[in-house]
Amino acid sequence: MRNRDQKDDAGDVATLLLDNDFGVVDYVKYDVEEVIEDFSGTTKDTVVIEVKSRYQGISPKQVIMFAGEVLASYAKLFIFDNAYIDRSALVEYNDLQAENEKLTEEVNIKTMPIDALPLSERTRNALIKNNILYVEDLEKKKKGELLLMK
Amino acid sequence: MRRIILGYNIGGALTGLKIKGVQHEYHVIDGVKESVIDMMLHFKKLRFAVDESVENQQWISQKFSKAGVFTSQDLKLPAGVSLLSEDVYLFEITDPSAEVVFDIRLERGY
Repeated sequence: MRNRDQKDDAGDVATLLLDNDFGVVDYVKYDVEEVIEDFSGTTKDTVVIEVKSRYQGISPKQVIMFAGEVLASYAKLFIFDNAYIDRSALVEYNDLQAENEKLTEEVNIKTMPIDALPLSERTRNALIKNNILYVEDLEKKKKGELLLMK
Repeated sequence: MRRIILGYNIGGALTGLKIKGVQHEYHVIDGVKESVIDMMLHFKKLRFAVDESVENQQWISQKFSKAGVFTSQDLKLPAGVSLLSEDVYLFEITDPSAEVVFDIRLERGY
């Protein structure tokens, strides 16, 4: 209760302010349960929502229905009927995956130690002496620099 | 879903009270058993279902003149507003000649 009065224009009446909580739901609990559908072992998840409303005048079913309507209205924001979509900017999922795999492979090669390469003992020693320990270091050197190495 | 249920399911509640002849909450109304503070605490318990068509904030006038116990069921509510709370005790008029006239400010939750 706010201990603050507002004098009314009429003079003998003051507005007594009440601070209030407008919520009508006490609590919401949810749990996801795995249910075995048949003997083949197929399973599906079931969401159990427990809602307790504070007042008799509003049922948990009404509460969930209202929340469902709100969620549906949010989902509508992502449905574009008349929107222009630039198809050229869209990337196929398979292409994207292949590109990612290629990049991962490149990174793996770059981080490979030179010990893993089929080099002669002399070449390997020369590279280590010149502080070239990974393929990445080797890649940075120019042909002339490599030829001068001993 | 949980956030939507908790955040969007909102009802109406009282946010203001004007009682004729009362200038502050420490006032005592002649012929009424409860003090104004007790009355305010009882009014705080009330919750309403408010239709979309109804204004977000409105003052509702009430007048009680006979002796007896008054509960939330005795309130005269405008169309589009219905009581959600159970029978909430509000106050008791002990003097038959006493009259309690008040306005309540009903606001939809936000």
